[in-house]
Amino acid sequence: MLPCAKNCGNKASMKRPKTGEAVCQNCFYAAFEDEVHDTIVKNNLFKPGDYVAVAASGGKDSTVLAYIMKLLNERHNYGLKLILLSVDEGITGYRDDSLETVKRNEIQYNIPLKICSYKELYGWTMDEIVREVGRKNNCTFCGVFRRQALDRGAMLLEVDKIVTGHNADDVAETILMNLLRGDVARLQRCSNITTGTEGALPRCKPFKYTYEKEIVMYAYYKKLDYFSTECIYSPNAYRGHVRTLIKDLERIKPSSIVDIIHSGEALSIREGVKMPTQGVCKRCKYISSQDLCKACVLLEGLNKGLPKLGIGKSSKVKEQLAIINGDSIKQSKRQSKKSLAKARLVADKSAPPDLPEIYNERDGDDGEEEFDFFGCGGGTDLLQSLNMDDDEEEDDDIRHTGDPGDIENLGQLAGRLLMARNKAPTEVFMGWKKVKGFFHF
Amino acid sequence: MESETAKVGVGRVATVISCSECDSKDVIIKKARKAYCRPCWKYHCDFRFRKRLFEFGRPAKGTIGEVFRPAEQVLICYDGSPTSVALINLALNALVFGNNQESAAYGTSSNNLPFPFKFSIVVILESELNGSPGVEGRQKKHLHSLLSWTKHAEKCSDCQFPLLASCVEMSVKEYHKEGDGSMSNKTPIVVKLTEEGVANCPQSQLDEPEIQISNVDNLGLPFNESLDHHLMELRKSLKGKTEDKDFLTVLKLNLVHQIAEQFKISKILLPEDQTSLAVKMFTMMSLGRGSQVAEEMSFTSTSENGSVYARPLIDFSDDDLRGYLETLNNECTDGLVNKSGKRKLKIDSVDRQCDDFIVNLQKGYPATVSTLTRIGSKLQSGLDDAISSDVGNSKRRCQFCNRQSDCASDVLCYGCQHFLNDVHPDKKGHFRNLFLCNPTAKS
Repeated sequence: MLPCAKNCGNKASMKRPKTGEAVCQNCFYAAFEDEVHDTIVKNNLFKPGDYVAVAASGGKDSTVLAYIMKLLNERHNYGLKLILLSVDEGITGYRDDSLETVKRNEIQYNIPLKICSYKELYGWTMDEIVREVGRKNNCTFCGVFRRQALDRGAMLLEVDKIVTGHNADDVAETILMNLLRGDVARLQRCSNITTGTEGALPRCKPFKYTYEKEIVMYAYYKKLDYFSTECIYSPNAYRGHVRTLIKDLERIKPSSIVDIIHSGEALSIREGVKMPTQGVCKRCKYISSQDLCKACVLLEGLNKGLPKLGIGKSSKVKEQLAIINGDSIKQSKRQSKKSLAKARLVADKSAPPDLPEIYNERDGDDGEEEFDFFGCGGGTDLLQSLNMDDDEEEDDDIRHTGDPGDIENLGQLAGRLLMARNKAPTEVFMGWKKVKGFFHF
Repeated sequence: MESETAKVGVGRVATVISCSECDSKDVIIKKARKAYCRPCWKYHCDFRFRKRLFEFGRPAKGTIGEVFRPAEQVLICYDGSPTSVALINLALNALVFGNNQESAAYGTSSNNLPFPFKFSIVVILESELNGSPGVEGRQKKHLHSLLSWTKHAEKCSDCQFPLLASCVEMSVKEYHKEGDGSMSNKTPIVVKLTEEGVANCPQSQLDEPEIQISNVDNLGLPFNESLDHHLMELRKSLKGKTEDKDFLTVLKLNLVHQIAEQFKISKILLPEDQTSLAVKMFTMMSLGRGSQVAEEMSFTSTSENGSVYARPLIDFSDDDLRGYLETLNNECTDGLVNKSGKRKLKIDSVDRQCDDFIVNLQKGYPATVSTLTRIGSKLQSGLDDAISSDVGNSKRRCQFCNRQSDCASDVLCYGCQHFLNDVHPDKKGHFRNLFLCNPTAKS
């Protein structure tokens, strides 16, 4: 048995994933807590007297975050007033169970708790949304609504800051995802430890340099009470690919996670590149780069029985909104008759129903507004991505994605999809007549 | 893109695709919403490449340059990959564009602007000690094929394509130091390869001190055994394959830089397509080299001494270039391209992992590499102003990799510090002596 690398005289009982050092339990706790404290101090995350809301879902990250914040607040006299802030998305069998964990945390850590629910804020629960939308793109709704819900809940409480349990793995994934999506606007700010300082409530991530594995180890050895089941509506999301890459890179070179964060911090965007300008939503006054914020657009779609309204490129959403509201559509260079016809189809509700997909998403992923559109597990988005919609080519920031899963050829895909809709195999080929161009048998 | 439906059996229909340009049914590649047959794809690639080269050769903004000026020397880096084979063939076809049958079929003529470049090809070789087993034999076989290609190129274009070779240990800066410790620019580090070698070589070439001339069979590897041995010892002491591969990549780039400096060649073409750039971006991000991604992803980048590096294949993915190679005659690719396809390599390093990720993601999401290339061109290094103001320069360079550094207090950038952290403590001094201009500077 190796001695502890910190020379405390004890035997090592674990190997730190971040550094590879063999340490004993107490030295691991000390190292973990000290690193979070250093992050807080070096980045001036708080000042004495701050009223801080800890975003708590009951998962491992937020549970450890609440524990650590309380511990360090007392140990180092940060002078903070803490409150737990939870969001009830209304997912039966998942969120109701995890909220019980947060309620126990409230008692265990003696931190007050405030719960905001989607039903109160938006009039819809996630269960109702999924019934309306289906299992495709539902995480777009959840992510966008949850982000706003946190902000709105925090504003109601009149807190100064929100802290979230985003860890180093999350930040690294987000950086790579924003590169893959070509999202220059988010790429610039996603590696910041504090965001939202321009107007909305600032949010910070004390776990920005803390490895997920170490959080799990800390929670395990400290026997903290947390909820570890994945969301029942989780998709095979695009983020899953990047997550797998991060895990594989960590296996080859453990410092790669921190290196990706360091790289992300060193990136910025050239002058002259078109960037969205921040404004406010005309309806709800939430920050938004468009006339209506994403939540309002999604809600409008839900309330009008058009759940696809907010899904897709901003330009197409604008067209669809204009048609619904009877406004004249400004013809831009790239708009074609085909895209206008598509917008009318949506308004006429004559678009074909969505194909079923299977999703999984990690607990604690707040989605933000990253998912203006959302990858599916095959099906329509794959067809769209291969067809390359008319005005898709040079859209700088958003692109279609699709996850073909383990489908090996498009004939197989068509068969599986249409079988799922109870169509006979011979109809598969008839269905392909409608598919333009690329495929032939 | 035209498509027809054809009956292929009872209850079955098929969509037959024809070329977007000429309606030929012999489609070999589909890109965006278009399909191309062989001649059309070749023309398309040649045209786009030539357009990029003209962009590269354009006089700098704000200067009064001549369009019709004496031809400029351009160095083409050749690494044996299909991308580099496509690069040399595209460069050759750029010279003859408008003067051949295919171009004439598209209405272009030999009245196109004369091309302002004279190309040389440089190959960086590895010895048995610093490469894999059997590498010398494979390299020599490849060099023979490359020499045959240069002969073919001379016949097609009436232009010479001198083939220069160097060995990786020649990048060691120690070798180039004068007695007073300053760097020498006159030490020969390349060999010019010809079929005949020294025999039948014009006396004028033999008199040039910077170039040694040899034929492939007489080429001795390594060029300097002592340096090769030092390099091998250093590489063995690196802990992981990731650091080793990154280290080798930096050495090869440095060597190209030194060769260009020695021969006063200010323009270098790199064999990097969209796929390899996407992989490089992810690899560099994973190695902490984010501050250097912007200069490595742009169409052109300028080094400290003014040499301009260009990536003229930035508009093509590796599938596009494979399609292009299929359009060429055997003379253009014989012995240069591995027909059996890519070897399946073990994933034991960050770059292999990123390569595997990008290639697999591209299959499901065809816009992946083009999106990454496009966002790469929009990036710049977001270094803290404090770093640039500290040294009074707008860009501080790492002493080892010569790329932009993100560390104010160190001669090495964050990425290169991994080498020092990774190497055996006994070899750290060795590394400083071999590769840093001022070994006593803090690192």
